Amino acid sequence: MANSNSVRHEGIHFGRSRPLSLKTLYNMGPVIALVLMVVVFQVITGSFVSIGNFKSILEAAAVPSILAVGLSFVILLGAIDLSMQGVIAATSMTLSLLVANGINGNDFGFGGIVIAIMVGVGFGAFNGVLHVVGKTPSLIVTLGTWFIGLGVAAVLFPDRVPAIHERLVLGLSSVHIAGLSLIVYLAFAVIAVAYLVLKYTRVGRMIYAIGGDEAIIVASGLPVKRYKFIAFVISGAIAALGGVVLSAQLGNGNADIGAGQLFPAISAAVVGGTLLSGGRGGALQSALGALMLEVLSNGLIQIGAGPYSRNIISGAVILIAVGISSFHMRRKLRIVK
Amino acid sequence: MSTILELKNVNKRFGKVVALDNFNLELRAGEVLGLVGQNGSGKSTLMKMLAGLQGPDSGEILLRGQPVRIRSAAMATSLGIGMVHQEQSLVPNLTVAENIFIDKPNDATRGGLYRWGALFEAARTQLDKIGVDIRPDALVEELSFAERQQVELAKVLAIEELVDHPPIILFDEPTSVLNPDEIKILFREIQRLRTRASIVFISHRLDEILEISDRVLVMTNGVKVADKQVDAIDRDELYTLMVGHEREKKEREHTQPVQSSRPNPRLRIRKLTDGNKFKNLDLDVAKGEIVGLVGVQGSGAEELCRTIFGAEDSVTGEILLDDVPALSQGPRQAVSNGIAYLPSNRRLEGMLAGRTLVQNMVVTYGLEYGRSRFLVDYKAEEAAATQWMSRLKVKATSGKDRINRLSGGNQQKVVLGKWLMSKKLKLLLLDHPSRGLDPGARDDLFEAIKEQARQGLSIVFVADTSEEALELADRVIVLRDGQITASYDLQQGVIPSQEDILRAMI
Amino acid sequence: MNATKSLGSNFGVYANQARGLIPLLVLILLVAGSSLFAPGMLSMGGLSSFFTDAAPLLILVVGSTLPILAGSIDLSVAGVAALAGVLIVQLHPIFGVWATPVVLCGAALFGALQGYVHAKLQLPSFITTLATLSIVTGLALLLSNATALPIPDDDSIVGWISGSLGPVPNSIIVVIAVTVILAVALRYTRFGRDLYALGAGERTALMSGVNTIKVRCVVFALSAFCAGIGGVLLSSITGFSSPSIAGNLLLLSIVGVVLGGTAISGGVGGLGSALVGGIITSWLRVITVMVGVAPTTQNIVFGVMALIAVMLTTDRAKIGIVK
Repeated sequence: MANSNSVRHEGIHFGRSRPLSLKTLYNMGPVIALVLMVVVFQVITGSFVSIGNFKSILEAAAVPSILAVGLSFVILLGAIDLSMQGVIAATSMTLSLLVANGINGNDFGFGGIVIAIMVGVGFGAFNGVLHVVGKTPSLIVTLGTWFIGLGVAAVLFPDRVPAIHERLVLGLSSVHIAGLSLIVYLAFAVIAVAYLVLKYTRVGRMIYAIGGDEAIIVASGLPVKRYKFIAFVISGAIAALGGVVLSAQLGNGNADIGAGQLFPAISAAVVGGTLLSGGRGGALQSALGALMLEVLSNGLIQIGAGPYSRNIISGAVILIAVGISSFHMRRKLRIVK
Repeated sequence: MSTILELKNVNKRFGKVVALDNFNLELRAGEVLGLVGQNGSGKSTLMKMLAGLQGPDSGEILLRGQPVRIRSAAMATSLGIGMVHQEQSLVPNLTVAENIFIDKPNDATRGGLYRWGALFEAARTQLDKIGVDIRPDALVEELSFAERQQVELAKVLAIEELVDHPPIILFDEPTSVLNPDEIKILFREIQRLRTRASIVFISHRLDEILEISDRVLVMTNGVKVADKQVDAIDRDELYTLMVGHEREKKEREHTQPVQSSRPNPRLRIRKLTDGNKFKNLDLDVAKGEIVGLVGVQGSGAEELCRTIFGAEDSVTGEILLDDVPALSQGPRQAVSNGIAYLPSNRRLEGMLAGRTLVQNMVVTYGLEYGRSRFLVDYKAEEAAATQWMSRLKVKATSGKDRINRLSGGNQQKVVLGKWLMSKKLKLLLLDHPSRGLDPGARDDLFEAIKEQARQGLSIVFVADTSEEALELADRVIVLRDGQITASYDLQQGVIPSQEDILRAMI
Repeated sequence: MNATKSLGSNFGVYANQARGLIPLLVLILLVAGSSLFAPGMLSMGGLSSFFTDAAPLLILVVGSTLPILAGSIDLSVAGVAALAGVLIVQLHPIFGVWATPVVLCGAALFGALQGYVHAKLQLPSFITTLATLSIVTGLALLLSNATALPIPDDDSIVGWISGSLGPVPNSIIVVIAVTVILAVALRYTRFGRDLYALGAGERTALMSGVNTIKVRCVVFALSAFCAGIGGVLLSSITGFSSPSIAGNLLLLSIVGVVLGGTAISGGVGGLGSALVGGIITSWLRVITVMVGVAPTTQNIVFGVMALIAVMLTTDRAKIGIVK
């Protein structure tokens, strides 16, 4: 056990046998970056570290973290789910037309919320089937579903924006406990449940395994298709949950409600350590990534950077983060599409 | 002793190549059966069949007297057959414990919920069987290669708990990457296993076979040539048996001796080192010389060729080609240095499967026939390609056939043709060029290679068997564990026997 | 080889050729169908305005095809198009009429840089271009302060594009010219040869000495260049450059590529197919509006069609493990 042979084999990721401290350092990277950012912003602005500011960061990070966590299930497989914005749009319209609203007489209450989530489940299942059974790359399947989701939302849209009157939904945003809205607590709950699923259930561990080396799992005769399908369903369901929350924040149903949510979610996952290559990271990491991006955004606002500069910077940040995290995986003959 | 496993008249072919030919085998309870044979003797096919990765074309497999069809790895496991692979079967980002039980039901993961404490304990029990100090919660990717081998062993041994009869454990070259201490541990465990399992053990290291086995079975060309108790056979006899004798030994052709450009060899390699695969290798190759490399899997022969072509990741040392530095950073540089490489994995690295013959042939050097360095001249390159295809005797209706319609031998000729299209080629590297080829195609290929050597091309090839090396090469170099152990200059009349070569290989 | 096998292989060849013609068939059917309930579209004037409107999407589809032939994808094209329009206005005071060529060269350089980062650092193209999309869109918004800026009247290039040669709009001439040049390049240059090799089997191409990094740089440079042209064309239609001008075009351009029969798995397809796919997409856009389908509902149609097209064209055997 003393000597560490590092041997590379074609097509299999063998890492070096690192001394423990270096690996822990590597894992703590995002946390260290987070702390650094807080320090830097505090030094520059002098007012970054405050209860009020932290609360607003948490509020802002709640939805992105939920979305990032949902996306993680698919990213861990080594696949991708781009349909988020479409699912959110369709869910938002469904929700706003089923619960008490200003357009029609429906009042399904909690049932309406459940049905809205089922919309996400449906999209996720659709993605799963096309990808797993139809053997179509997830990039394309979910790109198509993104479109379809937006279209469904457009079809559902009545002639004017439906305002939501349902207490259960609006309460998510308006009810505050200890100065934080229910959305924040919901985010914590989602993160916690996702973490537990990924760590303590076979589905979760198999998702990691498939991302680690799908060929081996297939050769072992394990039901890979089933686990992949489930991952897509979970991703769709959580995206739908995000749609519900966003509708609560906005107070009405809207097909544009999901605009601009996909890229921050992907960035959050990657920056936090849930690599696109699969098999690494998890719920906590992705949530941390969302927090990091919010800290960055918040700090940039305080410095006085306009919204467009923030776009530019987040693009650059994601490039750097991905570049650094996959730097050690480069090989002469490695193919990356 | 009762017979646990029996193979009766098992046949398996891959296209024209016969892997197993009316093969018979018996494995008795509690014995260790050693399996030896050269590359291509059918050993790996046999193991794959038992492990559920291949099925026989005909014949029977009987497990404890009952005929079985082992359809999958999972089924093999449930029947109590486990294999310790050469290529590892562990998922790198999961823990040791998960890997051990990944293909077996286990109380700790019952109902889809993981009780980690119980899982680690169960893994600990398995690991204790082989007395290794690996933590069950360690991630596999954190372990060294040898440690991973040990986890593979524990994973296989865990089969014991699954079946109420003694399991069958197959070892496929387990010692090739272990150091002497680790080998001792492995052997100790195998000794302990014999009371509760039956074992088949493949190795090229004949000393080890003789040490650990009760019985030894020698295979050649898919046939069992010997089946003897270990005390009834010695090392020399094993060597002789392994070499096999149904193919007539080709008389070594007496070509003109290579012009003595030895003082100024075309290819000069000094102190070439590639990580763990080989260290400080020196090699000279003259113009028009054919050098044959021989060695078992992992000896460094294939890696050497790939390194010269620039396909390996961390290399130090010096390569001079016609006195010009040629330590290539990648295949592209190698090609512009005048180096070509025929890969052993034709499907993955040698041919563009969906493309036509001509398209395959012009991939690398098509533009040497172009109107300029950047402009393609379809007519000229097609003419050249067609000419080469007839020179190499490629059997196809036209150059517009798709390459994956051709037989393996013809595909290989086309891939070789791709490299020969160059007018500026200096060095041709061939990695197991005759693998999967029938004798006719093989002869054509070798003839083409010799022709090129006569024209001045330097050639280095990795031979499948020592026979092949003796047949084709001017100089035979034997590698073992990343070092050159023997070098025979056949031009000088020093002709080793196959046994000599084997000795140096092992 | 026995008789059945050769029969099967012949059928395979015919099937492939047939498959390649399906998009063309679809287009013909579309046009024929339209002549029934929207005959106005097929008039000179109707076609002329159709092609003027479709030109930006067409050039984007053509440009996007190249990375897809390599098995990658370029998601930044819409952003590059937007930024190109903005930059032309911004740089006009400095460069005058040369602003356009300068911006186009800049776009190409930018694309090459993208390709280099993607290839050398071995980062997936989709994340690389998604990131650059963000950067470029942000730049466009920043530089223009999110407002639409009028194209200077004396810019002769843009002016010329808005005009036409007889019934044929100049913008389409540009598109066709660029497509023809690229098609010729694909067929007769080392770059084109290498690109198809890379798409057919990247590992083999690598091991055959193909400079895959250079190919990727060129491919993304061309894709960005075409996106730049798309931005110019868009600006010439409205007379304004707008940072949000590209809007829906990203997804539509991918749909166009896919509907033309180019496989996402790489190596199959070409610029002719791209044009066909682009025209189908544009035609559908117009038709659905005429029939009364809301533009936003078009999304469903496009999404479904794209999915069907991809499922039919993806070469699963080549991909192996599908992620």
